[in-house]
Amino acid sequence: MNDHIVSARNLSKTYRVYARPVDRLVEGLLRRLRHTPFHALKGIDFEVPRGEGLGIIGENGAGKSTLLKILAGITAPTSGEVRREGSVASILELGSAFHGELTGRQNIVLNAAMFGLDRNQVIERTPGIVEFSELGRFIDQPIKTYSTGMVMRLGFAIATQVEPDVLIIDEALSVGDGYFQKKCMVHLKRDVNSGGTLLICSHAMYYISAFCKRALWLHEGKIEALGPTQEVVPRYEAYLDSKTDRAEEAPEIVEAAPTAPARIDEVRLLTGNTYRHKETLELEISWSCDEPEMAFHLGVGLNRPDEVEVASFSSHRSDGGPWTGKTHHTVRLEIPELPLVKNTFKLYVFLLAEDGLHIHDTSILEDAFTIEYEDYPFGIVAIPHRWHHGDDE
Amino acid sequence: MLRHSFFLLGEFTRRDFKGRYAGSVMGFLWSFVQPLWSLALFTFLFSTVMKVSPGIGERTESFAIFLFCGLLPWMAVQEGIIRATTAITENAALVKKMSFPSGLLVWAVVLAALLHEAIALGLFLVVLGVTGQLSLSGLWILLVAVPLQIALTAGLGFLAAAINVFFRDTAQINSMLLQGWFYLTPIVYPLSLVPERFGSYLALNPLTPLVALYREALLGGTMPPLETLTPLLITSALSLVIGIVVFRRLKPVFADEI
Repeated sequence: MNDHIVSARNLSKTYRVYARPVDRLVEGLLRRLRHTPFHALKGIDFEVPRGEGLGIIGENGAGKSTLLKILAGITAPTSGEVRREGSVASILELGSAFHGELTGRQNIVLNAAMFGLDRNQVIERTPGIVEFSELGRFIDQPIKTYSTGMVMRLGFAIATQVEPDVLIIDEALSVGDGYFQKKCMVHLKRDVNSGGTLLICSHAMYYISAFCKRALWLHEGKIEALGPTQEVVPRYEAYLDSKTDRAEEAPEIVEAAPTAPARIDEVRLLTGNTYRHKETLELEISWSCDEPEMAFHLGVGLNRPDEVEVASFSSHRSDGGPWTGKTHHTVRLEIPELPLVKNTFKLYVFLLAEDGLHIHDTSILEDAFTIEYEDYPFGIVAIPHRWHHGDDE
Repeated sequence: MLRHSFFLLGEFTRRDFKGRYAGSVMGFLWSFVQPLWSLALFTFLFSTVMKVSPGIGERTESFAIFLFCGLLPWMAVQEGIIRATTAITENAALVKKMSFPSGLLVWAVVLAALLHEAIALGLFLVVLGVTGQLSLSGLWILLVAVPLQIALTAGLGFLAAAINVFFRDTAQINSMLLQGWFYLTPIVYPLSLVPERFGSYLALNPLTPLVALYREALLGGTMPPLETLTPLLITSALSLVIGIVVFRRLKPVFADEI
């Protein structure tokens, strides 16, 4: 007996790919091979200790979803073995188990039963699920009248309130409005902190970093790296960087709707649009929110026009914020002694939630400012330095 | 574990039952209308036009009553098998994304078909009561007939559901086979009308004794001799075992194949 809640031994999964349905029949009846094998997973070995988050990362088609499906018990591995202790709930697709004609409440019972709850547990937890989903009176309406966001909220509310020993999430967090996303994240974080085990697959590295102590990088069906998140994620990102042309890869942009609970009103440069090396730059950001209780951090990204990231400034890492208690805020970012030497730069302004992860709104200043250069240095920044010749000493 | 399966089965059946009539004006009343419509059509065709009568040795002289005794189990068997065939493929979203005993989806449609039958049966008993033909003395025979019927339906249902995942033509083939099975079972005609040389083949049809059991049960009859039940007993047991074994063998790859 060990304390590993999930362990995978030499897992492999091979799919049989048939060109036409009749090939399957021919193969079955005549024992003549008509398929081409596709190796989705090859020799996967890992263990997850109780109460730990494991992030599964990798490119599309690397086998992440197949691995999660095997871990969730939805499909069987071709060879190898999975051992799981305790209850497992998986959200591979929010709302997939819902029946459109049934009401939200009726679907809670059905869905929670599929997650393994018995009747008493369902009755006991239904109020919590209804509350978490914030569906209000819609809970007694048929699901078919719901918006995608509402379906998603209900799906997530059920999966989390089921409180499984292991929760498996496949990219499910990336939908829905910002406010609910944040609520889910807070819930999941609390879940992990209180001993829940989480297996997450996501392309969003900040989710992986936020929830997972360790990360597993899948590459073409094999484990490329398995270890502490802060070691594996940078390696994976470096790999992605080397693969893609940086210019094609723009940062994730969340733009708030006019009705969103928080939105950036204005971003302006108080010190003008042209600078010289070592001049001071001041950026003023103002935003509004519906509730004075909301707390905010700001993030500012400084990029070259070809999206090379030059610098980033985040208030939750540098003693600014969180700002709260008002419905209207104005914050000034001062950058004394700009070390930049030439070029035109672009600014990304992110209005962040208190956790510094969730993005409420984004504002982009294309061609925000230009550095007028006096001589012709190479590179982007000037770094203070000295030269020492051996004869000087 | 078993208790939870029953809870989940109940929920699936409820989902099936509610989902089917949701949004329709007459809703649940359709489960009465459908069998009555078949009854009216067949009675007109076979009794009024073609002058078929239950004949000697049957317990009723009314063709409609004779017919309905046979239609009841038939409709449940047919509905069960047809809906079981697509039970897995129609719920692809569930099977691919959730981990649960998918066999319950088959049991749920078999159970829903049985519920429909129970409703029609209740109505039938009321009609018999009102017309003064009700006899409860044979009803206990249903305790023999219904479990055998469930085993037969579920067994064939499991087999069809599993095969249909890999071979979608199963659903089409099934409805053809079932149409043949209906006319080769003495439901719209009494066995006594069948020429001698075919009669013995018809007696091998497992539905022949099932229909006979229902007629005895509902019309105050007695338990038929055990040897006449042999085809039903053997087929029910065999199909249940084979159906469940095949389903279990193929289940692990359902999610990959739908």
